[in-house]
Amino acid sequence: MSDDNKVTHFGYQQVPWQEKQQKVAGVFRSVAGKYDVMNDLISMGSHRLLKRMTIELAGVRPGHKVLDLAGGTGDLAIKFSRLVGERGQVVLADINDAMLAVGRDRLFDAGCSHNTQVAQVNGECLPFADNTFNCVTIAFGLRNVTDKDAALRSMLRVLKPGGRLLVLEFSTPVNKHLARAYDAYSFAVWPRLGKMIVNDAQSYQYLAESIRMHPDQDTLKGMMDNAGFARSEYFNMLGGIVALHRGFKF
Amino acid sequence: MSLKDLSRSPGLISTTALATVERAINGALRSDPTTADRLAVHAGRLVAIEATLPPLAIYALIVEDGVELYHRSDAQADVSVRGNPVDLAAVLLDWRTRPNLIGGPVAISGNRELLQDLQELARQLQIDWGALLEPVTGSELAQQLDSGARRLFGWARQAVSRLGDQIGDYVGNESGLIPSRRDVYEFGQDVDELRMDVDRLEARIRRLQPRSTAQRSEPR
Repeated sequence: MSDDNKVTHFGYQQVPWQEKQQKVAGVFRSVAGKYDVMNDLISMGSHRLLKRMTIELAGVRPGHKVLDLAGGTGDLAIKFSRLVGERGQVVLADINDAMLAVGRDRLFDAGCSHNTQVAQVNGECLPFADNTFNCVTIAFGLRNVTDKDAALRSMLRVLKPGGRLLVLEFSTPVNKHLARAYDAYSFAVWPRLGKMIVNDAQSYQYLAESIRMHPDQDTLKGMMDNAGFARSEYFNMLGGIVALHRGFKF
Repeated sequence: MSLKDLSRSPGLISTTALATVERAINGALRSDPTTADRLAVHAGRLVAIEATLPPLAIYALIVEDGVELYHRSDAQADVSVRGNPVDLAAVLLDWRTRPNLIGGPVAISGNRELLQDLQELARQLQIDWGALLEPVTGSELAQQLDSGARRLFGWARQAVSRLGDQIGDYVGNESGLIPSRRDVYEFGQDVDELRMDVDRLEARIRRLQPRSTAQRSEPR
């Protein structure tokens, strides 16, 4: 099938392959200003803890180069900037200019401009040389990428041998009662909160739908294996509502 | 830390606990800008604190606006402190060492000057309760509460110190439940002396044994 005829999902909708990127961009442009507030509300603050766990498993040391993909408002990049120190480097990258603008301002405000760079990039074809980074992270971003396999291959290419990829993403709850409660909460509450806070219920309806369309833990692990990552594994968090996948390049 | 430990995801509860401690420390630092500025001089330094029982490691990265705490770090710490929790608390919080109770081995490696500076800062950290409470109570009541809190904490610190002294005296000297350091030292000396006596006796027996065997084998 040619790319012109290919379709993919945008939440529960089927859309032409080329349109998903624009539609996702529209979602994030709409919520960029209140993104952090909304994250705190819908996750009840737990996203900060999940990001802490991600940082702990990143194994980042002074002097390392880190790529924070779909870095949004810079939560992870700020922490990484402090961990890599003067000799290291952090690239905050996102495909969305509105999110990136918020992230860049937060990096400057946090005093991280000395060792961070900001780049608008497409995760499917990263504009960095092979073997550049010690660590690549993508937190709550892979779900929105149209061609996830291409993105994983691209991340592997830019990692140095021995480097690691960390994918923090919504996933599939392991307990069916938890899954039911989580479904009820996310479909009933998130769009209403979106309407109240950013006057946009649609974007949070998309968020709830896109989570259900995202590959489950084992499927994503298989995709990482297929892309060429070694020692791929995942850690369920909050009963599998979120999973942290980790893979190495050897 | 073993390879198995490194591959294990940190738990949500322990991460929450660590985040809470970090928030409390940074909150205290925000209310005491003098100490915060002195701490900021060490920005970028990493302190490893390893408790032996239960086995637990905490890594404190000093940053410009406070500290960040982690359960693990692949980076080389500038200073590492290792010991049991009570002895660690005694070293890090600069408790007055009670010879009868505290004073076990705390292994320190790396930059000891940094550790001394941090101990000093921990001791001097003055929480400005007034500044923390002012948005809620207004400035006048906040000042009253601040001075009340300082008196309360000053009294509590003295009370805890006195209680520690008294418990130390009672447990170490009066009750005889825990031997004093001097008793332990003397016991160690006695054990050493006994060991040397046994060694000497053993050598003497070994020396006498061939003679006794020879005497027994001589024809009568």
